Amino acid sequence: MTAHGFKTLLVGACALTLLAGGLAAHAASTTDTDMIVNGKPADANKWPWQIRIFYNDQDAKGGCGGSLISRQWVLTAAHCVVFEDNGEKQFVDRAIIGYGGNNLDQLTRVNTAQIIPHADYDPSTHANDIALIKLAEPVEFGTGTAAVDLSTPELFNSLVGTKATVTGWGYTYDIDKFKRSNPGVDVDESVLAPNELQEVDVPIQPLEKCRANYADLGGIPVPDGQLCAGLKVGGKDSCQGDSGGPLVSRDPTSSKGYRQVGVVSWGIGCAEAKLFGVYTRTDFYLDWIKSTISNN
Amino acid sequence: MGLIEAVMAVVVSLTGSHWVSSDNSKQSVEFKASQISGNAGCNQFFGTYNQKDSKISVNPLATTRMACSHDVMLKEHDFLATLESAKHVEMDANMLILKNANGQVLMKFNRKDVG
Repeated sequence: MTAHGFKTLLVGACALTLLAGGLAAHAASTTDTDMIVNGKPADANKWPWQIRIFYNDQDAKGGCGGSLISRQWVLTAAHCVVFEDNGEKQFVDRAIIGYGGNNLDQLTRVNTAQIIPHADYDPSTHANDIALIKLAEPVEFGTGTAAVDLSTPELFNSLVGTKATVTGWGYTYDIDKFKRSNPGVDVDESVLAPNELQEVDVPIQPLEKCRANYADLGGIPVPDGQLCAGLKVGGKDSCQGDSGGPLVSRDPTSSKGYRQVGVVSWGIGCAEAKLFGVYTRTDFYLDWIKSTISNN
Repeated sequence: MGLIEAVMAVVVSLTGSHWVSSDNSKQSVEFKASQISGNAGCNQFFGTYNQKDSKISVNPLATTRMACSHDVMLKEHDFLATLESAKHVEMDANMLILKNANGQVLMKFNRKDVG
């Protein structure tokens, strides 16, 4: 989608107001199993690398997540910067990066200098769904702002079955589930899209099991270079608005205590049983990340 | 080739065709062998489908996880749900029509301009 498209679309989003009464009523009318993120608000400064991609000044709830991997580079998903309009690929050439906090309205903003999706990104399969964004100026690290360390192939191989954490400002309910659980109730944006950064723990699943589950649905391929995370019974997942954001695992060898192992990419609905969330593996693209930064 | 012959010929396979919604230029659908993909208005979608003559079934579709304005997200949800409910397809050189099991028109698409 073009920046112009986002501007048009976001006029409607900005016109919406938070209705506390409506939120409470909607929340009360759903069950716990309907909460697809089923996470919790993140503690202040716990995820200092988390950023938000805004596509223009008026942007509110639309957009993607991402992570600071250095003072001047952000890692995100290619589908966050490559859209389709009238059947043609469109490349986002500028955006605004919000960083340094948990509240969407209080992020510090910096312009982008360069946006570089993986050259082999395939929108029809989401292979190579990874992109780098160079900031117009380096950010200052400090309380609430830091870079995340990236995973390595050695670390990744030890992670299957272990807990990882995904963060973002994405939807806390899947629209489809919400409609099914609340027939006749308007879907209120204030219920779906939180202002405060959320986090949820999800185990990393064996790729073979994930591929088998998606193969049962007619054969959706999970490309090499991606990983799956989620619960067999569903209920916890990333969702719309979390794209591009980080999935991290604990690693005592990192000074930050965590390494980013994945980038939010895709799924069928959100938090459906057996249909794990799919993430781009950072370790698989380490060479691309290093060479891209080195050449730019 | 007459119109009826053309329709019959093209309906044999959707493979290789690319369409844009007649209502919203950001919504599109492309067919490659058994794979279906496109843009639902905000997010890219992809999955698989089966077609035999004019009958079609679309398996649950995967999507990327971006957010756009609330209005766009609701339209996207309806677009995907409607696409997954399609049971019949009609097609000519310029238009693709998807219908439900009762033959009611669900969606119309224009062929993406070539070149």
